[in-house]
Amino acid sequence: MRGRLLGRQLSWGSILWLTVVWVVLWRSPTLLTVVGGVAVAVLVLVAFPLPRVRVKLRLHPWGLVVLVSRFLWDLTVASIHVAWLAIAHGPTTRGAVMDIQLVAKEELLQTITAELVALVPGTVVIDLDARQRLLTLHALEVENDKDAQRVRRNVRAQEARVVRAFHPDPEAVLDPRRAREAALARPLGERKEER
Amino acid sequence: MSWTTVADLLGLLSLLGGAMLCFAAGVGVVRFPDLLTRMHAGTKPQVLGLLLVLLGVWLRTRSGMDGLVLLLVGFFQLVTIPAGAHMVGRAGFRTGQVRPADIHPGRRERVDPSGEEAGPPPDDGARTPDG
Repeated sequence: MRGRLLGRQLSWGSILWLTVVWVVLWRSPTLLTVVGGVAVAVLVLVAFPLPRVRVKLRLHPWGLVVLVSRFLWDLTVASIHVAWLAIAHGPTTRGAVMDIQLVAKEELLQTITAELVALVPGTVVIDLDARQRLLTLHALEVENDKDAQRVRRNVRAQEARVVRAFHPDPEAVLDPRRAREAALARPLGERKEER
Repeated sequence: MSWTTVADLLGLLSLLGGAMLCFAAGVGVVRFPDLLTRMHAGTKPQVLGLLLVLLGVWLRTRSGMDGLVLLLVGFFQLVTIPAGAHMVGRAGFRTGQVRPADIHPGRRERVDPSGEEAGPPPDDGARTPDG
């Protein structure tokens, strides 16, 4: 739902979210903080408009549970691992820069994937090319092709979990046969464009 | 042992674990050899370390409103840490702070959605740091 003010579109969701943040920061849900919060929220949204994100997502609850719990597990294991690399005796580790091809077209899904990949230790995201769907990252402990394949597999699996949690039709993206058919169904010029 | 004691104990353990992870992050920043590996140490063990510290603080105070504030802190950290790391990493990469030897020499794999053979990509193989 959207309202209008001074020619700007304001989403009620953003106003609600900013108001909640304001009230929580004051730590007291009184009338004054709530009214003040709404005022500040509207002011912020009018003064600093954000580009609209075209969202076409569907939440799959089970996929989200899998995504979050696996993420917390990865975070714990990898944090301890990198911490150990930092303090362990002996020569310190080296890493490598590598490119990984993502499968999801949606920028929002690519963003979520990149954020989660960046948060899990062992990989730092350097760049993301949304049109080419190319994620450039730096990975620790990559010394040969086998290590590189391991990192690629992990990132792919992470993206698959993100797609399973948010994409309206996950299998259309993840099933290689259906992805190929969808690509063939489009005219040739569009395909070249995408590459 | 009452519930408050258990919560206090868990809170202290979380604080200790978080502090140790942050310490390891600091050691990593000193010991790791180059910019990008330091980025790993500087951003990563710290994420879990920070979450543990926040959890520990909440377990010690046990107040709902404080909990919400701590939740906000954790949320914004999780959202902003990758952005900060990304900016520094990309700046370093583009200004040539990364040795060419650290760039994975393997052929860049491509998934071509149309299924036809992609042929050699224009920047096949190693990427140059200023690429």
